[in-house]
Amino acid sequence: MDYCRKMGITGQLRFNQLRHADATLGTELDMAQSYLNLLQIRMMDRLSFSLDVALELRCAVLPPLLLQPLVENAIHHGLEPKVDGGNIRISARVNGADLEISVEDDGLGLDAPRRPGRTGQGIALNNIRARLTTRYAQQADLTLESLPVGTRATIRIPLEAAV
Amino acid sequence: MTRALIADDEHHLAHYLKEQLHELWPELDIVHVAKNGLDAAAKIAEMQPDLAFLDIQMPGLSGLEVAQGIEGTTRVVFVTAYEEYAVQAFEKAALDYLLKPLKVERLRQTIERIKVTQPIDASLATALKRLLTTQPPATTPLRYVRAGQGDLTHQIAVSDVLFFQADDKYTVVQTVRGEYLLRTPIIDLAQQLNPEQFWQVHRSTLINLNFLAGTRRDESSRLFVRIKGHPRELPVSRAYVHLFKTM
Repeated sequence: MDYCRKMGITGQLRFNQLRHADATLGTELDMAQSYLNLLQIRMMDRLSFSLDVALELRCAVLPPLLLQPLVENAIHHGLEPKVDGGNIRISARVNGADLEISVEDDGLGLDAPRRPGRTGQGIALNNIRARLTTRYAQQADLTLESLPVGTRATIRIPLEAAV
Repeated sequence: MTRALIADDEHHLAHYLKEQLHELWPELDIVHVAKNGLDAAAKIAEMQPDLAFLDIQMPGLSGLEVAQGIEGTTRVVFVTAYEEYAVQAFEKAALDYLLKPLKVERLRQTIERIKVTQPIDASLATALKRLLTTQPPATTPLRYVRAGQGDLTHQIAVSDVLFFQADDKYTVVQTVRGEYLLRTPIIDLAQQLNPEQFWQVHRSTLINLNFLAGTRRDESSRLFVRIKGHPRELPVSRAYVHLFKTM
């Protein structure tokens, strides 16, 4: 978190007491990247990924383990069952007073028939929605969209910076 | 030499299994390592290996789907990280079900099991396949057969046929003019002929009722049919004697 101060950007963002259990977008991205690196050992050239997040946004506050299940969904439902695999892109941007984090894949998509033995997407997504509501009420949400090829999941939460 | 195929979308695991098999069963010939279910199904059909080590969760087709599609004599060992497919796996007549991470001792047991299990008998497999793929009776009965005599082929009206008789790989077509050879097995002919006109009187014999002259029972009560225009009597097997009870 040192570089957050070094960047001198924290002052521009609304200060908020950092709850003990909170993470930052930076640490969550690092974890997602470790996970994806590991998955690349398994899937080899069937998996590629990119992170598109401005450095200053890495200080943004994020409840832990919101991003990770979205990345896992993109793998399990999108790319792992696809013969040629594909690409995952994680991006974040500021939209007004909100932080939007998206996980996109070019995998099988939401309309793909359920494969036997693969549990539906319900549990992880419902869990994320419940946590967002508890923490932010109506100020946050999770949306899923079908892309021409693949799926995009986006979390929108109020932008807060870690001190 | 026993030939095997490995299918796993995770290259490292496929490679590890290949190495372990090589170590424990050096004579085993690994003919292909498939990267997904579609690849596995295609190569099994093409190469007809004796064994297939199939991962279950693969892109394209699952290992269970691949096993279901096998038409030849390839036998399957599933190799998976999930234990919940075991019942389905054995319903697909799996030889064994290995859990990842693979343990060498357990793989050794699998190999022993494979070696003592007799390979699927090819002729039995052919017979089963015929049973499963037998065509429903043709709506219009066969009227002509094309049968060979020397290097000539003759078109013969089935109404001229005295009887059909299985002879090794061929079926003999007997008419008043002589014998001809046909490749269609008796069992398939029986399905294509009009059952009012042709009766099966023996595993290897179909007779044309229009030429039936009568029957004869010998001293040991075996039944024979006499055919018009043919000097030889044909035996009726016990299973078909009932056909003549009402005559």
